[in-house]
Amino acid sequence: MRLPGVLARIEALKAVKRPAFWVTMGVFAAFNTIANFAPGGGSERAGFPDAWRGIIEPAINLGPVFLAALMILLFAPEFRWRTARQNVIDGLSKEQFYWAKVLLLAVLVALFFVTSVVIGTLPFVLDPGGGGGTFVEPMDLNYMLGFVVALLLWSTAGLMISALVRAAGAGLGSALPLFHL
Amino acid sequence: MAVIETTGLTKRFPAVLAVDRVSLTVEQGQVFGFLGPNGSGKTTTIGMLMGIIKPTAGSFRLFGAGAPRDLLAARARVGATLETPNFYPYLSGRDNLRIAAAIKGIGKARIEECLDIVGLRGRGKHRFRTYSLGMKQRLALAATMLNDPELIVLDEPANGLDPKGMKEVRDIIRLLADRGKTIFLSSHLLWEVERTCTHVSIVRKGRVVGTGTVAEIVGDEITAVVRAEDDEALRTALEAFPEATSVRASDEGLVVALASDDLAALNRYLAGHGIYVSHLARRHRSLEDAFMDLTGEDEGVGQASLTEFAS
Ligand SMILES: Nc1ncnc2c1ncn2[C@@H]1O[C@H](COP(=O)(O)OP(=O)(O)OP(=O)(O)O)[C@@H](O)[C@H]1O
Ligand SMILES: [Mg+2]
Repeated sequence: MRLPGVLARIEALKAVKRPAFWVTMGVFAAFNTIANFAPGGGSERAGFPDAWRGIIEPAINLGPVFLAALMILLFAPEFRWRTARQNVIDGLSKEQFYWAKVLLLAVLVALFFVTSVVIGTLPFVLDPGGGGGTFVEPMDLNYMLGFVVALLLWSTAGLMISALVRAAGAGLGSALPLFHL
Repeated sequence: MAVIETTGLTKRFPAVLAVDRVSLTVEQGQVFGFLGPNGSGKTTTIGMLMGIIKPTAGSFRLFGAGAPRDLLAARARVGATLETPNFYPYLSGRDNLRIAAAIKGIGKARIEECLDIVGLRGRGKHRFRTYSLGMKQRLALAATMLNDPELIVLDEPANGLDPKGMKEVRDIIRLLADRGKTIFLSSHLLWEVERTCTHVSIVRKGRVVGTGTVAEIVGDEITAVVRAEDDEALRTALEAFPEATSVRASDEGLVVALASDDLAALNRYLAGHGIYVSHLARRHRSLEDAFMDLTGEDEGVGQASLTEFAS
């Protein structure tokens, strides 16, 4: 079986038809846009007051939290719907079932990252000479790496909570303490 | 070669012995009814066959395969549903089948074909959540036949359906049986099994209490339904009638099993004891009668639960 491709296709089909997916992605993109286009966006390069950064950076940092929540929303209900069980009856092994979720995680991390980068570079692309700063600075690379690591950690947490708690509501509930970190 | 073969299959949950040393054989081409009341271990047995519940003891083979690796391959020749139809509620019927088909490695054309067979083609684009129970059951049937399996395992396919829905499901099962598929279906509906199945196993509290062709199980005993004004007196008299082998209550009246075919003698006997019957009719023994005899009163089951089970 051309397994990874098949699993990815299944997860993609399930995700894009879920309103929760688009809502979460939309809100995340909106936060990013606000953070980048509001005064002080594009980090502190434009030299806007610290107060703005205080408001906006937490919003950017919410990305990984959004991802963890999305992971739980997409994955956990499969136990209540019993589709997890049906997938196995239909021929997936339990290992393949969980691998599919790891694939989903990887794709979502990539999606969040690309969304951030695209929106983050828009001020520069739209107005190269303006306050958007240079395209990529060493500091940005560090920041990006940290961002990816955070995305990975949080989505993994979401994945594990889903597998353990097996219910979206309870999963989000038990993830709440995490969100306060 | 046996399609399903279980040997001493057992599942013990912490609180209950759900399946107790079940040994049964399903041969190719049979429509096999796995019949038992609620909680008798039907779903648990099927769950073990499908690899989602680990047996406590015993073993089973599918198409002769018993080792885990071989079983995974053998299951590719099976289509099955467990308990309720299990689908993604927010996806359309068609998208749900696309997912099952992707797992099974089946192409698009077959999805339409299966939707057609179960009469859901027109509703394929609607969300599963919006389906009626009958449509959900039919979508489950469509999903089980996607890979054109040799063995179809259905857990209570008629559960919760109205008579029309049941007939539709029955017709689909017949269609599949006519195409040479082996069908293993669980049910607690006696007459449903009697109408649909060629073979039957009766299971109670996890144990198989009877197994054979429907004709074998039903037997050829003569039974009669009797009604009279005074139920108690009638029962006492029937139990005392020398030719009567058993008496039990049913919706239609008292059902008496007889050693001989002479209903006139029975009528004379009752009249002689001052009981004038308002109804006396010969009746074909049904699977229900056989079930009652097989599970019997010795299990300590109250009449109420038996009646509920039979209806
Ligand atoms: N996961 C489980 N944990 C503990 N007990 C269970 C579990 N699954 C089933 N049981 C118990 O095992 C017994 C058999 O249940 P099962 O669902 O197999 O019966 P069934 O014949 O399918 O019943 P029904 O007709 O109601 O579907 C019941 O007593 C049930 O409570
Ligand atoms: Mg059941």
